Amino acid sequence: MSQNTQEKLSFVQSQVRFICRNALGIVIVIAVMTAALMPAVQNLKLHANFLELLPKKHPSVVNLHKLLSHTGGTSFLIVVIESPDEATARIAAEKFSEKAASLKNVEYVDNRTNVPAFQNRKLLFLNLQSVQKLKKNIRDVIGYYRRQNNPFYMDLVTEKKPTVDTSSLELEEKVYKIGSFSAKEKNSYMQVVLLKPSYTVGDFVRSKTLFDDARAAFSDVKKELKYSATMGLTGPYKTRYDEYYTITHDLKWTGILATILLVLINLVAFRNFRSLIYAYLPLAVGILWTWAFTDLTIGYLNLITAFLAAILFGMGGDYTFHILVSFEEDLRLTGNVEKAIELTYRELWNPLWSSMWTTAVVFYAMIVSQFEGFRHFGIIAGVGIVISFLVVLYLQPSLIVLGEKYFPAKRKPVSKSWPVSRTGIYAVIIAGIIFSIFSVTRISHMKFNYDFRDLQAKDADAIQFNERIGNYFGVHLNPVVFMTPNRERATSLAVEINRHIHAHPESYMDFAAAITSHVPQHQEEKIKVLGEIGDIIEKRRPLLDKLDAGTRNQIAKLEEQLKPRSFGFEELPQGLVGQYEGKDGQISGVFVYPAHRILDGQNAKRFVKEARGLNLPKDVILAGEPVIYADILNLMERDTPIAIGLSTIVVFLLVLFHFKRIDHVLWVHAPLAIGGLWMVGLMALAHLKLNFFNMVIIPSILGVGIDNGIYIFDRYKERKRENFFKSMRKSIKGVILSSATNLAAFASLMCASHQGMASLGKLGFIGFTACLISSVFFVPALIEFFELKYSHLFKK
Amino acid sequence: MKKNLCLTLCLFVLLSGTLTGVSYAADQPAQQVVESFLSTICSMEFPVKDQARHDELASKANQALDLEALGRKALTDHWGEATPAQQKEFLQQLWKLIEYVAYPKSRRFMGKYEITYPEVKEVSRGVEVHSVIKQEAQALDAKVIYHLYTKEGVWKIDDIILDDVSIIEDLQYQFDSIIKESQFPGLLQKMKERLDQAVKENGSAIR
Repeated sequence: MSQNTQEKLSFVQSQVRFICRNALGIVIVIAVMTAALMPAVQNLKLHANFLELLPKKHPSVVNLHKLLSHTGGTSFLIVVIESPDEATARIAAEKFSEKAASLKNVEYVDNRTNVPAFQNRKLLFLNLQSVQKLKKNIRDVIGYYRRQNNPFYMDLVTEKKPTVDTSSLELEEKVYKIGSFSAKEKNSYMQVVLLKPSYTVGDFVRSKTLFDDARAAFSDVKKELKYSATMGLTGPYKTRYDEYYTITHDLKWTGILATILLVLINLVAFRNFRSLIYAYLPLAVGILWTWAFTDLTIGYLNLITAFLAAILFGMGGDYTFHILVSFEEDLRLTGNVEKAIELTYRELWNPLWSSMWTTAVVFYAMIVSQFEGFRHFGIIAGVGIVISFLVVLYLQPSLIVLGEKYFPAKRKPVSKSWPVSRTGIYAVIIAGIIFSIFSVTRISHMKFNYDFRDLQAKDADAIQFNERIGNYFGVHLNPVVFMTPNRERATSLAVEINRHIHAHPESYMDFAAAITSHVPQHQEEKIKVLGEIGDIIEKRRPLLDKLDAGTRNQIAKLEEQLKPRSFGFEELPQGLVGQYEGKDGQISGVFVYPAHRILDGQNAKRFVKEARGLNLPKDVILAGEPVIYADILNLMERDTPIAIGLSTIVVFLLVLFHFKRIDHVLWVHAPLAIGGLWMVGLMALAHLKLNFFNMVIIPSILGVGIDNGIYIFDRYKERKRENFFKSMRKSIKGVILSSATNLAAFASLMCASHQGMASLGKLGFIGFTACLISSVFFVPALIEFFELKYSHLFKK
Repeated sequence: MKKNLCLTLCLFVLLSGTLTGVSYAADQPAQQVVESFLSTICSMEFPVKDQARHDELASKANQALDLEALGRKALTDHWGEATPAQQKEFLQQLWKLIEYVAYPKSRRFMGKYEITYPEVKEVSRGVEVHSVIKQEAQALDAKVIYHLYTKEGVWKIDDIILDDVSIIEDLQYQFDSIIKESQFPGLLQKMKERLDQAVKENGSAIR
């Protein structure tokens, strides 16, 4: 035995002696520390906002805050009122707006589809060509009916009965679609009322109150309506709240489900209740300390780190189960608790530390990312693993010592190893190779799902409403904003961007609008043409009076709009001006709307890239939520390969440091490499794609995959006279139990209503299953195969 | 009363035809030419029972029209694009369509109502005879303007304007859309089909 090894053994011995002598003291100290940290744990909050996933000093975040400081935010609670009757929808929106204005948490109400200044002026918002087209249309309608009465008319063509067609008319500015000028769908009339809350998006308590108040107000309105009407809520205030509520609700229920599964696994594995305390109390303490650390350093959990409890519980289970399985076996052998703990620690000390460091390093590698989702995950998980490990290392044996002292368990006989036949080994190898080949063929088919819509709660009606509003108005309501120093600059910039869009039909930008875009152009010309339409109608009045009721009604409605007064900037609603220029008027914004659905991350990236590529002067600043989404995705795409590459290199070096032989290092990596490959195959079978949420689990799979390799190979290497499966008896039980803990945690996440969370559960379950099968069956079978063939390949 | 009015007009036309021949001389007032034209149409019978009489009346009514000018204007550029044979066939079809589509419709339309002539206005190239077809039952008066000019010493109607839209414009709209879709032969085919249908409806059963 080398001097180095002897020193290590004596250190392990001294630690075990210290634990056994001071078990009660250790438990008391840890209990006191836990109690002291509880306020910090209770203070930890979830920030369910994508903004929190980027660094606070990231240009996109700084710019968005700047925009918010001027305009008070582009975010609203959007109230969508629908009815099969147009008048009912309009009246409901008007009455609701009146009631909403007096609600507690509402700063102001903006009834976007009923702006008084726009009434009777709607045709001024058409472009001049369309006003002329309308005149021609009216002439055609009249012409048709007149031709029917013309005695000299020779009907060579069969004419369709024309109607007053406003659907093909084009608005001068596309931004008018958002106001009172939406295209109406048959049997569905939508009115949109924007409520500007007096608090920030993240105040979920006040949001809940506001939603309840809004619903109550609408219930009152409904009683006064002639026809049925429904109300839906959407917008950032609602979607963020839904996300927060779904995640917290899911965490609660998946936590309960995971606990039940873990208790069952433990009871099946150890057949006693005390092992529940030995295994899970240290883990729970480790997680509480990690939460306290998070609160004291980072201060909050984000959308990604919210799932860490389950992950840490599963990964911490690695240590508790390996120790517990080994201790149980060693207690049967020695019959003495202290000796059993010493034997366990002498055997596991090195692999436990190596496993802890490899896992922690994988997480620390994520810290290089600027993406806060990854960075926070790396810090919390990395520190959490170390904390959990240390707590387990000292608290678990202390609990065992106290437990066995006051409630000694019945001693059981030593379990026998499983006989493994050669046929079994060959069968496992062949099956593994076949599935590996299948998995290789699936690598090129792996896809990343950029669609954020697939990552919401299953029944996220706020998202559906948001999309429906977009479809209804023909505008995707997720603009980016170019902040300019003044109105003139904003006006010319909007013109410039619209020119760019017009010149690039494939553009991801739909249109740009400054506040001045809301004042129609060429008003005098339009008023003249509208007057001429009025004259035509007046001249043909006797003929028109004989037409069917539908056409007469259409013409009557049109006539209401034929005598508009010209419309000036000063008549724009203050709420609308405020959205562009804020209350202070220090900036003037140009809103650029996307041409495609922004919830698809690919669209968001291309849209923002194009907006940035406009090469605008430095005093024009780009901001908005699509910019945040795009930057998150860009950072993820940039940093994920770096983090995985870096952690792979460091893990490789750590394993090399532990085993000292390159062939051993490769064999330790084999369960992970093969497990990773099979994960791809299983993902294909389960139709699972990588996405923004589940990608974060890949480093965990990497860490655990390596852990399994370390435990199994280390144990095998040390037992020189035993065959592989015999030497692995304890390791495999530990590996299976710790993997089962992880699988239970991920299986419970799979039941989450939040689809992002569920996909994380699915990927974790698939990945850990693949690594488990690979490390417990395939790689051991492969090693045994080579051992049989080349005798003591690894034990020379 | 309306029947009596139509009968009087017909008698007037027959008498004036006997006295002055079938052409509408330039020394005749333009309004009289229009009245005679309309009364000739009102004298026609549809479906045609007496072919000889119909031919005679149609020929007389046709004398008042410059259909070639009307057809050319309605065809605009397409006239020049058509071959002489196509032009000839086009005019033949147009005459027949006037005879079997426009005249029967006009007769049905005007035969029921009283027509007044409030104004005859001289314009740059001829005169405009303004008429009002009184449709009291529907509280609707149709204003029809006939444009006449002298050709070889004879009054010819080269456009009829109803409610500010000329028949040339109406025909132009139709010819243009048919030619765009199926070229000039298509127009001729369409005219032929319409004529066949009209002859079935309004022509003589013996013919």
